[in-house]
Amino acid sequence: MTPDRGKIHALIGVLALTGLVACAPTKPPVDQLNAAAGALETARSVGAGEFAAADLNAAAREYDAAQAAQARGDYDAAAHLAMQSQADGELAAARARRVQASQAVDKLTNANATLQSDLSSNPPTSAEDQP
Amino acid sequence: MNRVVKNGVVLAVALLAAGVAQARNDEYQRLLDRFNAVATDPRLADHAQGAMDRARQSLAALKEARRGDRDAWAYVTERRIDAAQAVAEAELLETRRAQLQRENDKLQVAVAKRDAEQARAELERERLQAQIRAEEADAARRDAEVARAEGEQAQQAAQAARAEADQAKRMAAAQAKAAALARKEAELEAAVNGKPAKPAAKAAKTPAKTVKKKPAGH
Repeated sequence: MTPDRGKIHALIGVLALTGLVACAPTKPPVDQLNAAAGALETARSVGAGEFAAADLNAAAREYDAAQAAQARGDYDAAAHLAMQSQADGELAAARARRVQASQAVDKLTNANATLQSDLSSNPPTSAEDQP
Repeated sequence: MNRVVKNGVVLAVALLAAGVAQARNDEYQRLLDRFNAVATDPRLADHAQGAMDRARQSLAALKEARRGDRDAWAYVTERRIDAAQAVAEAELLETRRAQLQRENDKLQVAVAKRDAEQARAELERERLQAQIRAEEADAARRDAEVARAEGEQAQQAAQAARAEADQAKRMAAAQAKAAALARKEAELEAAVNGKPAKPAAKAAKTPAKTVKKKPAGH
């Protein structure tokens, strides 16, 4: 065995050990799953089912996949999927909030235009009543 | 030859590692650029501080993540940047909505005031019209009363005139009868005394007095 070959074998050994450590089973990602469930619930409660359905569905799918991964003992995958589910749930809630705010702005803009038009076509007698 | 192969393997591994590292850096840099674009957007910069902090933390986690965690952190980071942008835009829209709501409140008040003013004016017009109608009705009633009273007076005058005429007729008839009796008396007296009959008695000659009609309305 040449010195170079010995070094290569040592390097391979270190890498293999690192890989084993990296792939070693971790504990169940209970906190991540709970956070994902909470984000899903929040998203549903703010109307994401109506206003951000795609994001909410993605979050729900990932949550289901996270639970399945946990059930089969793949805790890393479960943790990753739970993180992704939480992020999608939060995104669904944010987008639902934005859509609702946008709709409210549109509705009020139209309502104000109608009122303004009404006042212009049929103005108050006294000038002080003008808004 | 062995040396050449060994060098080739080392070079390939080095290139692969460099490529992977470059890809990791590219992904990180792309997300960092996206984050900075949102964070430095003058419209959004003051909004969604909490969501921006979470996106920033995800970026830091992505930078330090193990290879096995990188994809998950990249996914999460991208979603959190999207969420931060959505929250910031939602806050901006909510500010706009509040402003529009205040305008709406003012417009509603203006419309309500105008409607009330117009309703008051309409009510006043109707009140004046009702007053005019009532005054016209009073005048008509008074005119009718006057006309009725005048009619009654005319009727009474006509009745009085009729009664006076009847009285005159009766007096004329009585005078004629008196004159006829006087003539007859004179004729009888003449026959008794053998003298021709005298002209009719004074009463017979005197024509019946005509009764002057009183003017109507008294």
